[in-house]
Amino acid sequence: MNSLFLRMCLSFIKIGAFCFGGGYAAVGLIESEVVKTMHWLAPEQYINIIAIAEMTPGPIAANTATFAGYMMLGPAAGVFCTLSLILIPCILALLTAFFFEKVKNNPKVQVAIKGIRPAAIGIIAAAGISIAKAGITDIWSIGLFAIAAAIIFKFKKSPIIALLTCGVLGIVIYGIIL
Amino acid sequence: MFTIGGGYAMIPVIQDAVCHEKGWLSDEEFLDSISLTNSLPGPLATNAATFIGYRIKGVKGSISAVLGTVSPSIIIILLIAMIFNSAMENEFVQAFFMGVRPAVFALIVSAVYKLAKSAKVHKDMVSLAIALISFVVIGFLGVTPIIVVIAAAVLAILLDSVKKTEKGGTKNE
Repeated sequence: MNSLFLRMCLSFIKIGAFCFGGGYAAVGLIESEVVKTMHWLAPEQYINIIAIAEMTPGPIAANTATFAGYMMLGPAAGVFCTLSLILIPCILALLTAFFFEKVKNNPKVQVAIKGIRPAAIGIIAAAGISIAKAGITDIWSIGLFAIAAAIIFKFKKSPIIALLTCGVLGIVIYGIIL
Repeated sequence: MFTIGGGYAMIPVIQDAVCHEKGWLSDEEFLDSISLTNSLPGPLATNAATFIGYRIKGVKGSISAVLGTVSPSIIIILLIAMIFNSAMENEFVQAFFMGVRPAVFALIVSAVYKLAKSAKVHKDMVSLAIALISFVVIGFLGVTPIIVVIAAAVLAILLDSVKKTEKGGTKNE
């Protein structure tokens, strides 16, 4: 139990150190570690976590870590997974603030970031495979995906509206019709 | 606290509080700190909080700013998580989440699309190649993302130094 707690914290420290490119990069890295490699959570559980993390205020990466930690080992794990996730980034941000003038125009760092950014896209897209497998299960879900995509891309509405709309439609389809 | 929609939604809120309400930093200093912390790993909001906290009140300022940023969301998520499992026994809640799942996939697609647009992968063959190769090796060959991140950073630095030596060579002719 304790060793699992420790391994979980280590996993999230590792994830935090490498999640360049915003919240969804963390979503992708957590998926790879927690779902695919460690099998701590099922894809169906993880997909619910993302939905709630997106609908709740606060950084999506931190929300996902809290929820995933809670689902694995309870509230303390939720807190520690989140703190583990932000440990290395916060140390780096502190060092950046410390050496502000020196880092400001360091070209090497900028070049490395330019390479990492497209890799982050690949990481998120790869996480999308297992999310698609868990999310697109029947003909109805294809329709719901199309509706969500239209809300986000065509009508430029917030993702939360897409999630809520599809959730309500889900109640109608899976709760009442089927 | 009122920042549904992730890190970028937070920027104007923080800017307003830090620069205008409290007068802790100038707008320019604030934007500098955002663009710097943006290139670090991790959530933008906590990175910016660490950085801004430090500039205002040193390490103590950092710690309190970060804890202030994450504690509301930790508390909210823990509260939701506590009722989540029992709520999931209700068939309508289950049906709600069945409907939400395809929408989560749409969110991932939109995150990929937005990042691809901001990284301008369609204009740069190298970036496009890195994105596609990362996707294939992680998604289908089971390579850990961390190795891919390191490889991409090293590759970018190598390509850049090759480019520089080429430029240097033509100047000498």
